[in-house]
Amino acid sequence: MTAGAAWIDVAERRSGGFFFGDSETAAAIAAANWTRSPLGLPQTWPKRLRVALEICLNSAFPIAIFWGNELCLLYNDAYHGLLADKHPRALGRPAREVWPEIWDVIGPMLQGALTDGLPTRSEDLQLHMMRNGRRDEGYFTFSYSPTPDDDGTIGGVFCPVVETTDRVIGERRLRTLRDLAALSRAEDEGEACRLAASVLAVNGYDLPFSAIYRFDETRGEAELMATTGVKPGGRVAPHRIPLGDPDPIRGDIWGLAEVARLTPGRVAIRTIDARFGEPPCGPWPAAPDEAVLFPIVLLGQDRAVAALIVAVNPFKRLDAAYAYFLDRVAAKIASAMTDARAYAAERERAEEIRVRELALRRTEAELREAQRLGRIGSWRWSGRHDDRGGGSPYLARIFGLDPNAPPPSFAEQKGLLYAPADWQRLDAATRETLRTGEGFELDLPAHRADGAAIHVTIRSEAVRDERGAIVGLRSTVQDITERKQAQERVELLLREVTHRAKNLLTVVRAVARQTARRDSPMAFAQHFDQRIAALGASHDLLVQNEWRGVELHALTRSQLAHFRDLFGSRIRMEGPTTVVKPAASQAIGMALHELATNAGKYGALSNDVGVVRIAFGVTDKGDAPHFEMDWRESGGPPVVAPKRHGFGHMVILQMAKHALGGHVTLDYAPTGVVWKVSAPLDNVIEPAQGED
Amino acid sequence: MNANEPIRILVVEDEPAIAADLCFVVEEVGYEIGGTASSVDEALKLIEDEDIDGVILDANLRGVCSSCVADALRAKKLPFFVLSGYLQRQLPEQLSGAPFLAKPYDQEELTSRILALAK
Repeated sequence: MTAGAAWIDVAERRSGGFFFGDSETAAAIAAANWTRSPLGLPQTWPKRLRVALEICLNSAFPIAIFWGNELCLLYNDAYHGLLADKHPRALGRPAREVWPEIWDVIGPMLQGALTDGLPTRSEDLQLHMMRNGRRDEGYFTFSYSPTPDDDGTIGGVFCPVVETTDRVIGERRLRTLRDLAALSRAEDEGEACRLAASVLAVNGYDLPFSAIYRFDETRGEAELMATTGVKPGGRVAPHRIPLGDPDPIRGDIWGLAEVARLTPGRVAIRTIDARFGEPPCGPWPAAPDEAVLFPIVLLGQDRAVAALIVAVNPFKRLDAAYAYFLDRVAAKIASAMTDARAYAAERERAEEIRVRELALRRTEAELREAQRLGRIGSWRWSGRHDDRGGGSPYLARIFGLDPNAPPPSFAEQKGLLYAPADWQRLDAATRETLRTGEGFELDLPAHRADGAAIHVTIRSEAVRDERGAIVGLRSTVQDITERKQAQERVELLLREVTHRAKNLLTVVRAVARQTARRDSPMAFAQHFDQRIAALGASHDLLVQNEWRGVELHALTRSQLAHFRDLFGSRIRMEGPTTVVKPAASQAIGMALHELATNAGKYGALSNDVGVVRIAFGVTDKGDAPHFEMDWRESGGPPVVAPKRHGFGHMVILQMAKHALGGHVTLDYAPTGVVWKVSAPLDNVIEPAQGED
Repeated sequence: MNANEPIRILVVEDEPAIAADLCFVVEEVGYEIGGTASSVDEALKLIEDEDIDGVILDANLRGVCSSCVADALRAKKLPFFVLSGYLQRQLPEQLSGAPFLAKPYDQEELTSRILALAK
């Protein structure tokens, strides 16, 4: 410090005062009128203060010295930035006068250093000093170091300080931009706005409040999507704003109609005046007084889809850095909304594809079920003999093929699915279709892989390419086996019914002719009617039993219906339940009818006391079992054998013998007519089950 | 065939009333009944054993087709005609090839068919 020692001496020598160097502040100190300062004239300042001031003034680092009980301020050139317009007025003034606006913070710290002698250290301490006519958000890293007076007590506080405002704010803004960029992709634009807002809400210092509105051109409205620092739906951020509406409260309070027309890079600035009521302050002790409005223009578009309203920090000038930061915020929101819209569009496309695929699968399933229900398989092939083509699953079912194996080629189907002759017909039809384009329909017998016979209907048409050339065949194969079988059953039944009807007509005709041969016209009418009625009655029984035969008790009762009152008394039936065959039932029935007619006219039933015994059963006569039946009359008038045999006799004797293939006798014994039948069992009795 | 001897006709029909009518008509035209049969076995036995000049053959005997009777008749070169409620074309070949009389028949037609058996 030889140089320092020198200037003290020289100064004192030269001017009778002190010389503090060549700096601007030194000049100001020299020029200042110290008579009104609590520090008094520099010549009177303690030696220690002068030494400290020497260090301060020679430093390029901002340093202040607070001296004396009133903490009067001395500083160097580098310190001017902190003071702004307070320099040079602040020189030598008590600190409390210089910084009344932050005295609540720094006052106690300075007093503490002064009285307790303990140094302080503050990093990035936020202090809102008045600078250039406004309170200014500032951050400072500094230390208050107690400095001794000449007498050894603490005379003042030595304070090196650095302003970190730009770094702190820069980092804060960078964090906001980084967080915006790191947002996860939103599902839609609304979510993009809400996610962005969640980031903006963290940075209330730069964005005391904000709001994002989406333009709804068709309704001429802006719709609130998200806010930070302000309640949605209030005066500052109404849910809906009618664009261009001049109403001072309910109208377009932010002038969003203009923002909607702004091109990217342009902004609108609004004063937050009384129309907004009491706007929120965010973390600041005072409300913002202006706001910047950005158009949000999505990538690839030229019109704003939304607007971002940002209140400006009242403690910070809207300088280039601040404006750039806000512009980046708006750009990030635009890109988040662009991404969300692209994502939504992509999702919509994916959903569309999914829906289409679902519909396709449903259609496929329907087709499969319809093919199963209709027993229809389909086949598409080129028409070449060696081509396997593509078959539907049901095609394999019809032919009993492995559904997972390719279908046999057309050539292989010969002999496998179709008999060679049928295959030839199919081949000829397909060739014709390939040649002319005319489709065909063929009913063919076919075979399943297991050999079972089936019947199919094949319908084919030509498949053409986009130029109309025939490139193959499309065929359906329908399994009509069941229908075919049913058809055949019906045909068989019809044939049988026809046959039986004609047979019966022939019987009727024979009865008529035979009756007519011997009877007078009067008697014919009566006898013919009775005989046909008897035929009808046994036919009824046959039908009731579905042509499976007739029970003999029932048959006898039906043929002797005229004498039903005599059953159990004068007509006695003995025999087990016996079902006789259809043909036998007709012969026995007719014979019983004729026997009863005769008995009523001349025999046991022609008086009041005669009796008819009917007995039937099975006997073992020699080697084979025989059916035997007796009709035995007694108690009637004496029997006289007729001179002439009529149709009745023929029926009773010949027809029965003929139909039953056995032995039939008719004995005109004087005591009563006896009719005896003996026939092989098989000719008469229906087997226990089944039909002959 | 001796002109003095009566023509003998075998009636093969399982329906008794019809058989009776057929027999009656056979006798009416002046021929004799050479036998009646109501089953295939009976018919075959009578063809073998009896002296017969012609046959009336029902196509269906108790549910059995009488085509084998037709075969036997052809083998013995015996004239016959087929009687049936079926259509002629529904019958098997052995029967559909023979003269045919549809049931229900007409008296005159039956008569001429019976007469034709002796030619």
